[in-house]
Amino acid sequence: MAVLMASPAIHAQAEPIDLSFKDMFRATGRGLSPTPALEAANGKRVRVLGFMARLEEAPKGGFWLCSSPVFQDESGAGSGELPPNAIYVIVRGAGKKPVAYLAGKLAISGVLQIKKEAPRLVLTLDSPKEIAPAKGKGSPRQ
Amino acid sequence: MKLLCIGTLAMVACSVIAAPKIRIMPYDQARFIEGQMFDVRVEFTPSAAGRTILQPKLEIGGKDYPVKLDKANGFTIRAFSVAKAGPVNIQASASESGDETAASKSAKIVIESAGGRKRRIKNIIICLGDGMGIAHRTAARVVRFGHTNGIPNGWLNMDQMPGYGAVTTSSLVSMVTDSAPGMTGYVSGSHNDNGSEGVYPDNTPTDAFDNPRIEYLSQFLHRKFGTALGIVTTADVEDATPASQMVHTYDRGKGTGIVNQFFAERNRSGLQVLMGGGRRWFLPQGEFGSSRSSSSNYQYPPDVLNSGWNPGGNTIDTSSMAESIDLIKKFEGQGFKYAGTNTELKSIPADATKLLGLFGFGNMNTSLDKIAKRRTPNKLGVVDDYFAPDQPMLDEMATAAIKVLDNNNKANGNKGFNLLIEGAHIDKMSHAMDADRAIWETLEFDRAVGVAMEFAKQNEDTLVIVLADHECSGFSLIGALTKSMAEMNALPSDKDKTQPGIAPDRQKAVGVYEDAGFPKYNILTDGFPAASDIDRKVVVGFGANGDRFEDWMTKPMPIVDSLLSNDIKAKMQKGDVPTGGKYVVAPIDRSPESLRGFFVRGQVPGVQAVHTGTDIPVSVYTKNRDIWLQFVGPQQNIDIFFKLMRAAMGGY
Ligand SMILES: [Zn+2]
Repeated sequence: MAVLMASPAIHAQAEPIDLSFKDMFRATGRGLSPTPALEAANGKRVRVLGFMARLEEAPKGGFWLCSSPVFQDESGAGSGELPPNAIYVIVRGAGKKPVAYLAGKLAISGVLQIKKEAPRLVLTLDSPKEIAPAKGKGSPRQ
Repeated sequence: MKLLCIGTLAMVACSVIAAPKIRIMPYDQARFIEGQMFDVRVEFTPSAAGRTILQPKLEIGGKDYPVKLDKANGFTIRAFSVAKAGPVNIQASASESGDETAASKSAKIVIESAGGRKRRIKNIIICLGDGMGIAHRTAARVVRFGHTNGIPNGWLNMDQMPGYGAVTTSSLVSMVTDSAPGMTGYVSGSHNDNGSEGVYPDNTPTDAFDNPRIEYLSQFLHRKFGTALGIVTTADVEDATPASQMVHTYDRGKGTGIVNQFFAERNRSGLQVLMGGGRRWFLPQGEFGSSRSSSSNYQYPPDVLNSGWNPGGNTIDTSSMAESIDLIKKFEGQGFKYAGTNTELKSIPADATKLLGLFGFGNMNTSLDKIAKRRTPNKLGVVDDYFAPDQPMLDEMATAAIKVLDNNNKANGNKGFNLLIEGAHIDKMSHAMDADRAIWETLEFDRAVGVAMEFAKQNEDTLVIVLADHECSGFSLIGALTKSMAEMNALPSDKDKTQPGIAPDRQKAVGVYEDAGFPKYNILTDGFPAASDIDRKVVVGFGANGDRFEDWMTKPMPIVDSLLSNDIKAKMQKGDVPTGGKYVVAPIDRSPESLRGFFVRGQVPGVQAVHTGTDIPVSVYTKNRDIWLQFVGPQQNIDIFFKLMRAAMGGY
């Protein structure tokens, strides 16, 4: 559990591991099994490309990052459109407020933790001072 | 209520002699059929804090019932029923400490007869197009068949049913409903609050599973005749429409508890078939992909377990409520055959009598995305992103469900079945003002209606009814483009043409009246258009719209992570990551519309179109004319329940 408990700041200086949504799980008609790539990323600083889910009832203090754009109405307990590998991103600066929606593809970096209960994939977003600024136009949006 | 004022006008000291407020459920004018169970709940609210309720009394049909108040100053009689038709008065009264004034309130309910000597309908198939108004049906027909000289070249399956009428859609609290009371009205005969399923409101809002229950059509017919129940949807099976066949909860979002209730009360409702998405609620907590949690679960109220809702004390199976339970295995342990893919569905044993099919973790994907995978199986697509590349279409699920339910009929001496077939995403795509996908969803739904009708043609004691729980988006077929796709794509951006008096080019491209003509789509053998963006395509407007940009083109396929090339890492490292300008689903952000379409100011707040209070069309097919004639003309949504019950009990 030491890795799970590690402070995000410890990893802030390390170059993030690129983690792709398509490399996280293998599926059967029943469940999902994590890939070695996902397990290796547990507790590490990772960078993931994805879309912020736009939910009718947005969570507070974080958002769901998904492999494809998600727009969720009231159906399926308000979360039926989230793919099963959606990552819950904690935005520490947001406190207990909803995070303003950002359209388009986002590159998100922070420390990934695999939890024992849903949401199982939780990424604590780097705070601005922990991120090396990206160069050029279209820089990753955080 | 008496108002006593003491003192002069200049120094008024008023004290109000008040009495408790009383709420009775069922509500005044609620209707039931003879023998249908419902809970009676009376709640007393003191007029001021610190006052206690005194001498609470309850009288039903002239008979006194002893009242023992719970912590919420309420009292519930579980599983009440009345055997004989006629009006029944529920009368409650109480006073409170510090005041001798008694308050009293009454609710007059009506019990109706449904039984008779006519030939009973044994199989009821409810085809529910979520959010499907009359214009969704018309648009789907126009796309599917087109016209020649103003004559439709064909009709949808649902167009071909003789029992055609209009239905109101209000709930207990609003003329505009959501899917939960929209469905429960049809299968319980009672209005419910928005967001609630098979229950009346109560004053214990933190417990969504203790509310006063109303017996569903499936439960009544199973209790009376041993009728089986099947539930088929393209949504998460937790969703409002599927749950509203047999689940009792005040909160449609309590997924773990709702799915637990499918299992726990399978023998109360005769559940033999359950198919859709929502595998996440069946996988044990802690497994990847599971959404089972204590926050969306519950414990059974003891008074429910000790009542007529649990005949024999062992009809409700509470053995599998824990979040750690693997509900797929539990269903298999009860004889259900499990399918997680279309391939597995096709290999279910031919004599199966119980079937659980879970084809996605949450909602299943839209027909456009499922068909895209079938037409180009080697190309990664949206369904791959959802770890569900091999999903059945709704008509394939309907075929499998009817086969299994018919097996039940053959095994049990034709006790009959109730089957829900829901096209869930007509609503979802209409919320998103994605006209082409909404039309595709309607086409997929109609193919399933065709499967149901085919069965009804072969099996005389079958009724197929097509309904919608409500209309969504104010969907309206307003015309067709006057331009080709090449011309549309060549138009300059209309993004900044927001001033009145400056007509955007894409607005000018809408042909109305004779300029609309007759759009003609190329339909492939899978039953869907080869392409939605054709020259002179249909144009749909939305009367209950949110803000959006509109360019009239098919909303692009999502650009998914799995489709990105391997050089993305290099791009990331260069800081050249694409942001914005790509496909997003919220209409206002959707691109390229937001870059070239014209801005349409919504009439409602928020980012999506909303449900409307418009009546919806109903279509009924059965061989018996006396039965389908019942549904012709205007009617209330709750009337549908009584008409179905009369058909099922021979009292039509
Ligand atoms: Zn809706």
